[in-house]
Amino acid sequence: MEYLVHLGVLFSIFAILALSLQLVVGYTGLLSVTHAAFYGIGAYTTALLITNLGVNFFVALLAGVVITAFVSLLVGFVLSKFRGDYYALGSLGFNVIVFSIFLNWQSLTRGPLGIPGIDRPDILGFQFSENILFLALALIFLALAYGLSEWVTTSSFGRVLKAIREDEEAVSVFGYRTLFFKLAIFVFSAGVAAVAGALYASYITFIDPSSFTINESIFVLAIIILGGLGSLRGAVIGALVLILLPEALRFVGFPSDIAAQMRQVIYGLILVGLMLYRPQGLVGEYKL
Amino acid sequence: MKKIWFIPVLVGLIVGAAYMGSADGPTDTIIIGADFALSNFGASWGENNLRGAELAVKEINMRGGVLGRPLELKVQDNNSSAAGAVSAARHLLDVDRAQYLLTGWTGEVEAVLPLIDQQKVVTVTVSAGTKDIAAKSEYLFRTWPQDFFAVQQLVKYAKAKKYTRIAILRSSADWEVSLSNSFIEDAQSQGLYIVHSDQFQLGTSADIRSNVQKLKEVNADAIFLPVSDPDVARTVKQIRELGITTPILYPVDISVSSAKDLPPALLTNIIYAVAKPPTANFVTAFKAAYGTSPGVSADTAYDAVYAIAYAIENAGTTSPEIVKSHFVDFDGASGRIVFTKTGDRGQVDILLYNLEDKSLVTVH
Repeated sequence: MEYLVHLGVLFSIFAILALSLQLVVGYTGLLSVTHAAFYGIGAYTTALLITNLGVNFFVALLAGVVITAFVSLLVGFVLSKFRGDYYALGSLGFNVIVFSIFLNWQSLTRGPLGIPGIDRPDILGFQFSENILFLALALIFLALAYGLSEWVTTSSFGRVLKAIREDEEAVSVFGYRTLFFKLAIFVFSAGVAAVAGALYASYITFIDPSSFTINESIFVLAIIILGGLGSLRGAVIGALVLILLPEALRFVGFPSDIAAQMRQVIYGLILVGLMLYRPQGLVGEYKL
Repeated sequence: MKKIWFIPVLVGLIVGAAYMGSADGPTDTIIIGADFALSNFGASWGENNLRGAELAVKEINMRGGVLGRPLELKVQDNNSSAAGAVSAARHLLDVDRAQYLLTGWTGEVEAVLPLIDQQKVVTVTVSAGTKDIAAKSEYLFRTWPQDFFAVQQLVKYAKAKKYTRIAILRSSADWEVSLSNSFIEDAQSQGLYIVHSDQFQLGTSADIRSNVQKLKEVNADAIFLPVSDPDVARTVKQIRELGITTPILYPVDISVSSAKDLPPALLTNIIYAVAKPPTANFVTAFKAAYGTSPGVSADTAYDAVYAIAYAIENAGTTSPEIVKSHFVDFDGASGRIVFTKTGDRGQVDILLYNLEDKSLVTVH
């Protein structure tokens, strides 16, 4: 059962990450391909504070959220100068920069050697060392992320976001400062991604730059596109499918010398099939 | 809900398969789990590891197994990532019911360390080179000689040849960084100068001519090149094609890497370190099984399976608590394997070879 618990934790972490990206892409229509960078900043901040200064996980997580939010404010401000495809390219560039920092600032991040020995969370002497307890913690954070996202998207603020997604110029004509709305949701979303990063670092207990590449950003984007844009439920369902699908393929008895390649081929084919079957995503309400 | 009908099916399949796997009754087979990089950038190493381990399992079973019980190798791909290594290890231990684990590079080992400590799983790493990694867990052993041994010998060679200005070009994974750091530390302590150090991203940069151009401009006496396979072939090719004839110092057996297929004119002045070439018996058996020569770390994976088998035989039981104290020294495919108190592979004699004619290079 430990294996299922492990999958449950991974699902929770990626569902939080997908929810955060959904707010930016699915609700506001900003095609951001940089979420792995925010996820990484949250993970590295938490890992460095825990391993170097012995800071409690929850304090480190909070610090990760604050630092990520600050960085995202600066990045969001720069990205606000772009529209459409250029926004996607600009955000991708930021992911490359952050990845390079993780990789090359060896005195701080240890580069490709990564940071090992990251402690599991503990609160008032109660340790989340057992995986089942960690799963409970991850699910609590997922519920919080979902609840907050629901609150944001159903508020008047959320309605403005959807309006920006449909026609930003029209919203501006009505006197809304769209830059403020776009920046606010970008920063909020980055903060939520940092929570996922902190959970990841503490769960795996080891991080290195390879977990925060553009591939990871594209993977999260694939989760929300597959699940359905503009739907929080879609983000959670997408995470469930994309985390479980490759694991399900482990049970198919391919010969060992081609098993890894076959899993990837079939995984790819299933994704193509799913997008043909439901181009708007499984429960989506908006198309890019 | 009609459109997401398959999700409960998917969840049900995984839960059912996992439950059935873990609920099987006791078996006579001793299961070794192989947590290897079989996809993504580490796949060439993972494939070598897999073949070496499979060959050892086959041989041991042909001789009657261990304690009269057959060995079985269960394999899971970790996609060359830390999280993938944990997922693969979880699957191997909880679903495939592996009693022992084989793992690869340092990052993968670091990620599964808490798991092997928690579940008390005797684990052997077949390609992690970082110094002292085996000391991190009483259940962790290593058949791969730590990087430092090869580095020491290459530095000694550079000093003997009076190559005082050394440049480093590496790719950016943990193994390469570990080697590079060891080299810098040892070279500087021996009075050599690192005049240039550059890197490129493993597996993604098809063209590294800009890195190579910078390398050319520093005009070093020798180039230390910790770049793993298959990137090493195009790195060597691009270095030589840009007219750099400087000696290249390579930390593992380049003669079994993809570089061996380059035109001979490009393979001059390359000195490589090898603990000892794989034994002739191993090479013959490997060729007979796969029709090709063993690649890097196939021999250490082969030895890892034998190390576990000998430890079980020596302990007379499969209990990990007892087995971990019964690892014995033996003559493996990668040479004499001596385990230190921390489970590390002890000092290994490193030989240097010239790739051009595969002649032994003597260092005074």
